[in-house]
Order: sequence, then C-alpha cells, then structure tokens
Amino acid sequence: MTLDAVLRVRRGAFEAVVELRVAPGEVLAVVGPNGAGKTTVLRALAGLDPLAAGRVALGDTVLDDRAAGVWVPPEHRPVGYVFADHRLFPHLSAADNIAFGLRARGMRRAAARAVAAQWLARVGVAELAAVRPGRLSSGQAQRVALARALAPRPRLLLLDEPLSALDAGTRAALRTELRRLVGEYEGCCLAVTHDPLDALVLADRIAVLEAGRIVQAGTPAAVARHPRDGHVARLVGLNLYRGTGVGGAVVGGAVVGGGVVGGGVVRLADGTELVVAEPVHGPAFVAFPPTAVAVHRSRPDGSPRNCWPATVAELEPHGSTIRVRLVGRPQAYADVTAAAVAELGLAPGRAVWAAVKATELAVYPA
Amino acid sequence: MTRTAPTRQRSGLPAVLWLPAAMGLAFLVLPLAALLVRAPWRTLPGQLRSPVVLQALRLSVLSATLATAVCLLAGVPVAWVLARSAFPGLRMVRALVTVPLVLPPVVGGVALLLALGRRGVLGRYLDAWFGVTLPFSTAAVVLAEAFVAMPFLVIAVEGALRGMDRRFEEAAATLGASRWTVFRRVTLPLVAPGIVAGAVLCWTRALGEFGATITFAGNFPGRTQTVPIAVYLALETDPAGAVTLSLVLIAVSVVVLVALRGRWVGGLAA
Amino acid sequence: MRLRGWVALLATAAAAGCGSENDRTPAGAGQQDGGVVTGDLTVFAAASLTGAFTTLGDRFEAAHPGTHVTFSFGASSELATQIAQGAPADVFASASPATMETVTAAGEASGPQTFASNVLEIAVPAGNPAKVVGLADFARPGIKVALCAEQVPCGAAAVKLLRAVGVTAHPVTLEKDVKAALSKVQLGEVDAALVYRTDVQAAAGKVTGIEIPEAGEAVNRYPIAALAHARNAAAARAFVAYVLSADGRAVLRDAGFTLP
Repeated sequence: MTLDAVLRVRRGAFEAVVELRVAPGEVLAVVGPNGAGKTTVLRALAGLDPLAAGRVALGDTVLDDRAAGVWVPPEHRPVGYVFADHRLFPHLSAADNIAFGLRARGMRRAAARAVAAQWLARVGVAELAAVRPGRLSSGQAQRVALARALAPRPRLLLLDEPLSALDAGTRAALRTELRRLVGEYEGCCLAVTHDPLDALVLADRIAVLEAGRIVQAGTPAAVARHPRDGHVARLVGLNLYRGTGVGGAVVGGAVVGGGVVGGGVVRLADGTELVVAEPVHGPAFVAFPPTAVAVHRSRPDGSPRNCWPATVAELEPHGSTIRVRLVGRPQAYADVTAAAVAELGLAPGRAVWAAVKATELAVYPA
Repeated sequence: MTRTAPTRQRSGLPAVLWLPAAMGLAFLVLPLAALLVRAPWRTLPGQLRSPVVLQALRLSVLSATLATAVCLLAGVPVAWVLARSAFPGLRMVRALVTVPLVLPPVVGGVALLLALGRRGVLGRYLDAWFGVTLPFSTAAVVLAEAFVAMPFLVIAVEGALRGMDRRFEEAAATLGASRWTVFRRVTLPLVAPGIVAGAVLCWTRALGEFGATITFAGNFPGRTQTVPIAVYLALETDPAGAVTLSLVLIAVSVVVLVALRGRWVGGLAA
Repeated sequence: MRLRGWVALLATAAAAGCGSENDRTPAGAGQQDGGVVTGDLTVFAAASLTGAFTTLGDRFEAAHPGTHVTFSFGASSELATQIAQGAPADVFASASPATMETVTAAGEASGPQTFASNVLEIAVPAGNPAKVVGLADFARPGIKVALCAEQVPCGAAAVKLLRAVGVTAHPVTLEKDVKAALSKVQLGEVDAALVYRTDVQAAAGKVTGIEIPEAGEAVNRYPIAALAHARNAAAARAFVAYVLSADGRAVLRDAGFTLP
C-alpha cells in the first residue's frame, strides 16, 4: 500500500517535478516556502488537478498514469484531504460533516452518524456534534476537518497546511494532537507545510521543496543538522549562508586560509568572506547558531576571525534570551542575554560589531 | 463648520441620495395608495363571495404555483449549464434564454400558439398522435406563465451558482461524492437562497401574467380565466369591481412575499 | 462661434414650434372661424371600424388639405374610459350605445348619432375543416368555438343571438375583443367563431364567412359624436358630417356595415 508517485504538474507558467515514496504508517512532510509548489503536488495526488506527466500508484492501484491514459477521478480515489481552510460544509453540523464521506460512499444515515460520533470523541469535540462550522473556533473546525477526512478510512491522507490558519497557541496544542492522530493512522500520510516546526514534529521523513523541485530529503534530525534551505535553517535556529569555498593557500607546508592554519575561506554571493576551520572547495553551505555570535560595541581584538560591522535592525524575545537581527555583510541573528542588551545599549539603529569564531562555523558541501 | 456629534450611529447614506430615494418610493407607492383610497370597500365582502372571483383566484394561485414548479424543474438545470459549462455559443444560448423577457407577452402567446397550437410546429403532432390539444386548457395557462417567468428564475439561479464558493464541491469530491451527490448535497443547499429568490420572482411574475395567457390559453371562467384577465374584462362593465379584484390579487401577493421574506433574509445571513 | 450657432438653431426651432402651435384651432375658436378645416384631428374608434375608418381618414385628408387624421383603435370601453379621464380626442365612434353613454354621462359629448350597424356572422378557417353550416353546429359536441366575452359588445350580441335562436354553445374561449376571436379562427385553433360581418370581410381569404339568417335579432348600433373638449372642433364636426355623408356611407357599406 505504498504511495509511489512521479509527478510533473503545471500551474500556469510554474512547473513542479517531484518524486515521492511514502510507506504505509509513515508520515512524509513536504516543507517549503509559499509558492514552492506544495499544494500543487497535493492536489495532483488527490486528482483535483491533472498531471502533465507521471504516474501515481497506491500499492497495486494505479490512480494516475499519463502514459497509459489511466486517470481515476477524485471521488473514486481512497484519499482523504484536509484543507488549510478546513472547508467544512457550512450548511451541515459537525457530525453531518464527518458523516458526509461515509454516506457518500453508501453507508446508511444511522450507521454513519454512529461512526461520526466516535470520531468526534476521538478528536476531542464530542460536545460539538450539532454545531454548525460557522460557530466553531478555528482549532475545533480543523479537528472536525481531520475527523471528516479520516472517517472513510482512506489509504492516503493528505494534509494541506493543516495548522497554518491557527493562532500560535492553538497551533501548538493541535500540533501535538495531530501527531497523535497521525501516529495512529495506518495509511500513507503526506503533509505539506511552510512551517518547519510542524514538519519536525509530525514527520518521520522530510522533503524540502523549492521552486518545484525537491532540494533535500531525509529524517528531520538530518535535515535540521545540515539544512540546505534558508527557510528550514532559520527555524531550526541557524544562520545559513551559501557560497563558494576558495580553499586555502599552502604556506610553508601548511594550508593557511584566512590567516588560520589549516583553515579555509568561503566567499558569499555579495563578496563577503567567512573564515572557516577547514579548507573547502566548490559550492558550500556555512551555518552557525545565533548563540555563536558575539556582539561588541567596537571592533574586538583576539581570536574571532570573522568580525564585521553591523546595525541592529530589531530585537525579539526568544525563550530566555533576546534574538537580535543584525544587518550587515553578512546579515545574521544573534542571541544575547537581556543584561547584555542593557549593557550594550542595543536598540534598533545602533551600530555594533558582530564576531563569530571560525571553529563555530559548520561547513558542508552544497 | 462645527456639527453636533450624532447621538445614534449614522446610516452612511449620503444626504444627496435621500431625495431621489424618497421620490422613487413615492413613485412606486402612489398608484397602490390610489387603489386603496378609491377602492369600493363596501362591496369587497360581496365580491369575495362571488364564485367567479373565487374561481379566478383559485386558478391564478394554482397556475402560478404549477408554473413555478415547471420553471424550477427546467430552469435550474439550464442555469447550471449556463454557469458551469463552456462551449462556443454559450453567450448565444444565454441571450436566447432571456428572450421571453424582452418579448411582448402577447407576442409570446402567439409564438406559443404557432409552436404548440392545433396547427403548430409541434402541436400538430401532439394532436394527431396523442389527441392532445394544449390551447384553451389550464395546462396552457401554466405553460404561458412558465414561458414568461422562466428567465427570472434562470438568471437568479445562474447568478447564485456563479457566486458560490466552488471549493466546497472540491472537498466533497475528495470525500468520495459523485457529481450528482455533490450537486444534490452540496451545490443545491448552498445556492438555495438564490433559488428561493428566483422562485418567488417567478411566482409573482406568473401570477400577474396577462398577454401570453389570454392569447395562448384564451379566457373561460374556471378553466383559463385568471385574475388579471378577469380584471381586464371587469373594467369593461364594472370598473369598481375591477379595482376590488385587483386588491384581492395584491393582497394575496403581499401575504406570500411577506411569509417568504424570513427565508430570504435567513438564507442570506447564514 | 459654435455656441452662437446652437442658440440660433434652438431659437429658430422654438419659433417654428410656436408657429405650428398657432395652426391648432383652440376649442371653440372654430365656431367663429366659419369652417376652415385644417390641422390635426384625433379620432378614437372601435376596433371593428379599423378598415373603414382608415379609408375614410385618407379621403378626409384629401378633401381637406392641411388636415392630418390620427386614429386610436381599440376596445370601445377602454377608449371611453380614456376619454372620461381626459385623453386628447376630438371624435369618438363606439361599437355600442352603452359605451357612448358613459362618455355622454361624463359630459364629454352630446348628441351622438348612429352612423352604422353591424351584424354577427360565423367565421370559419379557410376550407371549413369542421364543416360548419350554421349556428346549430355551435352546440355540436367536440367542436371548438370562440365567442367574445360577454362584457364586450360583440359578446353581448352573441349571447343575445344564441338565446334568440335557442342554441346552447360551449365555447372553449371568450375572447377579450373581436379581433382576438378572429385571429383564433385564422390560426386554425378553433373551428368557428361569432364575429362581425365587417371582420369577416376584412379578413377575406383567410377566413370564410357563413351568414346567419337570424342575425337581425342582435344588431349592434354604432354611434358617433364630436367631443366637447375637442382641440379641433371644426375638423371634428366636419369629420362626423363626412362619416354620415353619402360618401362615408358608401365606404361603410363596402366594409360590410348595415346602414340606418
């Protein structure tokens, strides 16, 4: 019952070319910024949009095969779809919404109502059975939408930005809930989101989608450790840059890069050069956590090899520290204590110096 | 220039529109008021007991209701095609559907005769094969009224279908609903307010129809004499009676419209 | 420059308008005038007079150059109501004394004169598919006949005639005016109808007429009168006189009317 999909989908001038495999019981999260093509892929899997080319199969059942001329319409696919805006039918109560898919497939009204009642309890909104969607909070509505998609026991569950329409508090609660429900679900589950945190929590595997192509795939831990996308990096809490390693020069039998013995230099697109601890050649990513950035009032002396002038752009509470966005070459986030903020007199517009040790920079090939 | 702060929330209607609005309202209300003022109220109870009047009223209400049913059965699918399909010539079809609106009703009646009359294009076969003649029957009244009232329904429902959020139909498809089930359980309920509004327009138009009815169905008390025809003939010899009869028709229409008003507003607010 | 041109044009038009206004003889002025018949004349006439009066109108205009006759043909009762409500008419010719009565009672006319009579005739579609021979056929089961509604003169006469002859007809429709009844015959929707002899004549070729020997039992008299508030009283009186003249009678006779 594995989902096997090779897709080429077009939407206007945009094209997405994607290859996916999801095993039953597995959750694959597709992450990417808005406009990356995530919803396009999902809609193609559901049969709502046509494929330009490719093949979609669930186990032995072929749902779509351009070359062979096979196409199963959405109503005949064993697929459940949860929309970002829940799309609960406004003229039906929560219970009737959940029962809709069952009745559409032939179940009698009484039996469908009973199953719907069970699902309402399972998603924690049993008391809202007779309430119309207009009166539900967004969190409650999304729970009902989830139950509605799961009630007909689909073999493939598609979640389209399931948490994006919710406020931060509801999102956190529902994320855990969703994790539980999806964990119990036995079919293949594909969730798309622009929020890497959702992906990290829900998914067994992550695929990063950018401009219609998958640029990185793997377990959440692997992707978080070595992100290849600024989006993902930012969320997992890393400053990420992409540049070209220019290696190091051999001086007196040792490789010297940037004044560091055994080190290297990575040149970014805007010309900035970052000194790293190892020599590297060719396209490379450089990443370092905000905690590695030290902020000074004036240019520091000493060991940090990367140091540049910057201006404070904004300050934001971040857990027990303050995250400072610094505009400079390069732009970076720095985590400082509240005491440091007071001592340095940090405020938007303040000119400071940022410094990062070469050893704190993680470098890996792009 | 200072003005005193308003004690109530302002309506937001620009002052310059109040006068034309009042005049427009007066224009519509004045003839009705004149009817009420000049009505021979003393003769009203007697009129209401007259069998001719009751017959005409019963026939009018019955035929208007049947005509509306015909329009719903035929018009909703037409509206669906106009709203959802795309084929060359769609604009032409839409124009054709609205022709009864611009056609003088009497001309509509003549056209119906030429099509469905005893010697009509289609009617001659109805007569020869089935022995069915439509003109001068109550069925003819229903057909004539349906002919002139259908465009109202089609336009109202097409508008509602176009304005409807089609994403719900997508959601229903992902839940396994066939196209017919989607139409029946999602589309129709969501456009129901538009359909009701169209049906009411249709009913009132059918109730007031005169030219097409009298031309296609003729006039015979109890069978084809609707209230508008009775009013017209009453004007020949008994103008006061005509006024009373008109009031009866207006009263019936007002009662129906007021009764359905709650549904309109309720549907729109949902 | 252009503005002045427009102003001049408008002034000329206004003057011309005023000028033509003077051509209309105001009410009463005609009497002192001494009989110069000219200007616009509006005649309200029953629908059954359409053919005959149109011919009379043309001849009248030819005889009195400068006159322009406009007709409004319709149901006599409708026209009578309009006149009573102040419609601008100069002459009224109705299909029944009763409707003329409403006009005289309202003070809009006086001294009406009967200028013609009309009798009923059976009209059948060309070829007489139902093989109708006389009034007795109107009671034949299965036949489709059209009568005028009793409220209109033609219908009242039909009821009177059928009662006099002792025939009980079961019409499928009671039409609102005689032209509507005739059109039903022309279209072949009914097998026969009771209409005026003048109508059968006017529709010669499209319908066939069958004379009724007892037609004299129900005769419709047509009165004509110049209206009290006529704008062109001189022309109104002249027209009435013309209708009653030998010339006028000849036209009416040709159309099928019976003359007093």
